[in-house]
Amino acid sequence: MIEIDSRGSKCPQPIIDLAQGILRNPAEVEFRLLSDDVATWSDLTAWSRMTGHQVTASTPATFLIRRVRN
Amino acid sequence: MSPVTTASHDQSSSPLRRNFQESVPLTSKELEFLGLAFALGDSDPRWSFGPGAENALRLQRSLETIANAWGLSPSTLTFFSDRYLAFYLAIHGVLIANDFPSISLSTIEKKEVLAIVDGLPDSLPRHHYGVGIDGIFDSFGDDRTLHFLQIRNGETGISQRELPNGALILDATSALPGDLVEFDLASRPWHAIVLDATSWGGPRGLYALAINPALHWRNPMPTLDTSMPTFGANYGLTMLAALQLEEFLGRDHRAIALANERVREIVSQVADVDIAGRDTRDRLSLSFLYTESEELQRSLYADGFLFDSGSACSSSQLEPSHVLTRMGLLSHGNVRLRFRPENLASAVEFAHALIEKVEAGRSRR
Repeated sequence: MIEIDSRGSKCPQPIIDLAQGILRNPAEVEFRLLSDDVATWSDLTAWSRMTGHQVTASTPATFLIRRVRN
Repeated sequence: MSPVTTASHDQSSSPLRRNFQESVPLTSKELEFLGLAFALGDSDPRWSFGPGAENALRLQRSLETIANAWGLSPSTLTFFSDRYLAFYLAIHGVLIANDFPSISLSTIEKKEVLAIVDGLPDSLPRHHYGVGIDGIFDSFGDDRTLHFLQIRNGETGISQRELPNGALILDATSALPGDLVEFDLASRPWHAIVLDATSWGGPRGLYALAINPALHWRNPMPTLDTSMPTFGANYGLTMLAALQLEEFLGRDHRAIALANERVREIVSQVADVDIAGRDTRDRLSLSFLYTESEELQRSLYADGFLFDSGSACSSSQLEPSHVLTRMGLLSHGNVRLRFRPENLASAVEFAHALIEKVEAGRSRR
């Protein structure tokens, strides 16, 4: 699992960090995004719908994402 | 009789030509009206056109103009300067005069409406129904409940295609004249309707509450005399709103809808754009993935284009729009447009400038 630490960043940076992390690690399936920005959860919901990836679990500041497509 | 003469508006040189914001500077007709108000000798034009036979007639005609456009009787309307008060009187007035087992409302309602409902006695159950990605409510709940329903959402322009069965209070503050007519209200048990003059391009701070005289409603604040048609508002703003409504009704709404559709087509060529709803009339809400809206606004402002945004993480707003969030739409990179006759000629130019800026911003990341 790749961990992407975006704590301290405001939107849309955590989503950009996540997208870049997925792009740079084509063999990886599971990703953990750390973000304390209040907009990250709602952004992730829309992002997963738009890109086809899945948010499999979340706590207020930690989100687990599963790559569904390349 | 209109309180002012009509003046033509030169669209080619208008500062409104590239302005897609919700509220815009006064037009020449509105400035002429305010000039007349000042000429009457009042230091505050909002209170001009006060008591007097001629002004009473002007006011009555203004009320008729507004009521007719919404398919309502003028005698049902009371005007307010406070939206919260209009919603409060609608909700509490209906609840204390009737015996509803519960109240039901959507999660995208305005924050003041949600606050009013939160303040209701705990003994009254309340249901919050969700909103799908298309903006359509996914469930209306029990038919015996009192439904509070937003007819058209102000941020996205998405309208409801059907009403629930049962008692209704309608939030039409972002609806357009004609929206209510489609629902054939005469055959439905609507108790109260709230209007906002800004929905037709009228002045800020003018709201109307319509109470259905055939159903029960009791004033929850008896010290307020709601029998006065302009209670809490004023003559001048009401007349100005009627004038602007006449202008709104005279617009080429098909041309506005076509410009909206054209911008959608152009913008949808960009990858990763979230476009809210379909047939949103004069409004359009777009959200671009991996895009910072404040940077986008600054860049397009430099080119003369103005628009609003419901994005989070701007200097003025750290939390995302609750409407976009509740609907599951992307809450960053949001661009909110309102089309009007003055900006239609710039719509395609704006769409191309927008996607150019979005792609440039993404390529820098």
